Amino acid sequence: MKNSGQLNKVQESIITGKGVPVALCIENVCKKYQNKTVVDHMHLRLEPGVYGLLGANGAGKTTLMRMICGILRPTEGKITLGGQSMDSEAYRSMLGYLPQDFGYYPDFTGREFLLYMAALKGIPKSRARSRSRELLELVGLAEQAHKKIKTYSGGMKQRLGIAQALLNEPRLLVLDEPTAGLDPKERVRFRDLIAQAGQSSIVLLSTHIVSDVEHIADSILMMREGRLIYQGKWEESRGDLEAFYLEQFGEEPGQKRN
Amino acid sequence: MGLFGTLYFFELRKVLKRRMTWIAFGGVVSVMLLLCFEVLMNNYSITNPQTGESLRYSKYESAMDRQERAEKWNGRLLDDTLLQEMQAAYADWHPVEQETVRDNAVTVSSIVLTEVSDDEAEAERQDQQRRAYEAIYKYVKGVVGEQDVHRVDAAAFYEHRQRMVTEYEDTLHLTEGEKGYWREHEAQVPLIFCWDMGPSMMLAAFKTILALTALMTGMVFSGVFAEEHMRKTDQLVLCSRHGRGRLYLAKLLTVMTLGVVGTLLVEGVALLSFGVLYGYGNNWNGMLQMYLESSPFALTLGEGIVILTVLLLLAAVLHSVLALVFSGWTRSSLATMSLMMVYTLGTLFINVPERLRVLSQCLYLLPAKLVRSSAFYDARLVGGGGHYLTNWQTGIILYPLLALVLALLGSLIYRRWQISGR
Repeated sequence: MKNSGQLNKVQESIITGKGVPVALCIENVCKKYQNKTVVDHMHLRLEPGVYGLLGANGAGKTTLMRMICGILRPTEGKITLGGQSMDSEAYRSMLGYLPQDFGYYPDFTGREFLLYMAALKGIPKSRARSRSRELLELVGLAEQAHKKIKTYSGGMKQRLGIAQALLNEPRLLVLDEPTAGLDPKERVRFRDLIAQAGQSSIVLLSTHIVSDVEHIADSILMMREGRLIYQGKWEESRGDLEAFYLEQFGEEPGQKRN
Repeated sequence: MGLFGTLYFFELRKVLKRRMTWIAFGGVVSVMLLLCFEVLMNNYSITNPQTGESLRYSKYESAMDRQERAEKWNGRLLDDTLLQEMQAAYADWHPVEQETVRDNAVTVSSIVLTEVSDDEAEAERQDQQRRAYEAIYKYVKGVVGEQDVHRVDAAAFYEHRQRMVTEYEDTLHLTEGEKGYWREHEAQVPLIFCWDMGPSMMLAAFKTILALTALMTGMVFSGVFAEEHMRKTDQLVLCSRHGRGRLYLAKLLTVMTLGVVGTLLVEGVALLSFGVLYGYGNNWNGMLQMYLESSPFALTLGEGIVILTVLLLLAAVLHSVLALVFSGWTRSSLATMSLMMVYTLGTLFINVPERLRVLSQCLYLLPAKLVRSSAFYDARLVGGGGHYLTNWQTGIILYPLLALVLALLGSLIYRRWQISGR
């Protein structure tokens, strides 16, 4: 959408999450750095649901996610969400992103950080206040909301990151290693949260922890050397997902990561 | 407060929460204060050759003494009568300056007076008389030189001054059109004497204020984009709805606001300090030529200071945007500070010969060369066909335009910002 100030009703309904389901279309997307192809001509169409993205280090997961989030331009191909191009404001309005290693402003309190992110996401101030309160409750940071982020532990920062990703009730939620730094109890709580979000939105979840994906993902996407080597639902009849994953990446079960 | 207001508020907070902001600001204000009050630390001594007695007093006392004596002549026409009075007072007097010596880390200049009279009382009377005319003597000497100051008349004095103006016009390689412009617009003579220490110090301070605030700008705004990159917050910011559009405008407005406010405060410190030290008399309407003898600009001292203040504030906007662009381009605080330092010091110290007219004039339109009192000597004009702009008029148009171009360039760089390689 070129004119960011004038969203039509369909776009508004997409942004507020009350409307027709949207699909993420990745068409012939490729990312090259000099002679190295990191993501190799990928085609993908994702409907609402939870997608687990698996792959070894260097498989191209983070690069793919960055391109989906519009912070890295593909060398070729295009990405759209509900027909909106990844360069547009309307596309970004529908997006929630939790990067693998995200930063924060140490002198902001948790609440201020969410209010700042809400302003960036275009959420009106009154709504931003109530939404921030809800999310701080949801991620268990309500009591620490007025403390500076520099006093937070790694797990608390991660939970704050999850809260900011959910601020705008995104139609596309991209989570890169979201459970890193969370304790087992928080991980379970987080899985429930993702499952809930996946009912109306597209949730793309990248992780090394196969069990996380196994529990909540409706579909599995497996990447190796920039290519999708598996895409679809994981059926129990096919056996253990973790064993399959390790087999694909040439690791013995004893070498598995988690 | 709308969404933009919220973003602007948070961007202001980010900059004001940086330790570097307060270090830079505190440092610049301290340096400015030290430079203003430096006169209190420097001492002079005057030795009486007959008694060998040495009288020591501070540079500040000397300045105040001079101001008190100069004020008496304010409003007097520089004509034959005044020149003859001064020459009579200065008959048979030649100063000999001795080399400067260091004494307890303060500079001491010794001046030995060569007296001709053996009568101590008469010598004292002559000395008092000379001191009374010192301001006139120094001013006339500045125009006609040491040799002619004792015999010049008003006609020769003004002829001398006009020769200085036209000789400098030739040095600047002015065209006939430009010379014609100045013959119509230049300051009118005869001159009315006017001298005030406070405003004259303020006029001279602009060069320092500009250099200090440009460096301060580089330090304070170096992290505006660089820290987003360093802290990895850029990933969150860039994928948000307003992360590539309104946020840039909020950051732009933030740096411009703080740049202008910081500059105003530093200028305010200088104004206040000179006010406390010397006071501001009622001579803002005095001719600029009383401070800059051969300047062709038909301006009063007050107008000159207002013009330099406007240029200083526009330069603050320009430098703030420049620092923002450097920060976005390099994504490094250190690189941004280095670039701003190279730019500031480079434009301060580099000179291009006047014979390379275009290059030289372009350089002298940059803030480091234009926001200073000596810019009122530069008679080079911009334009042609009878329609000309002086250097300060050009600066007032040029700086906002340059800031706009830089802001657009910065926006282009920011919109292309990619997250890779982490």
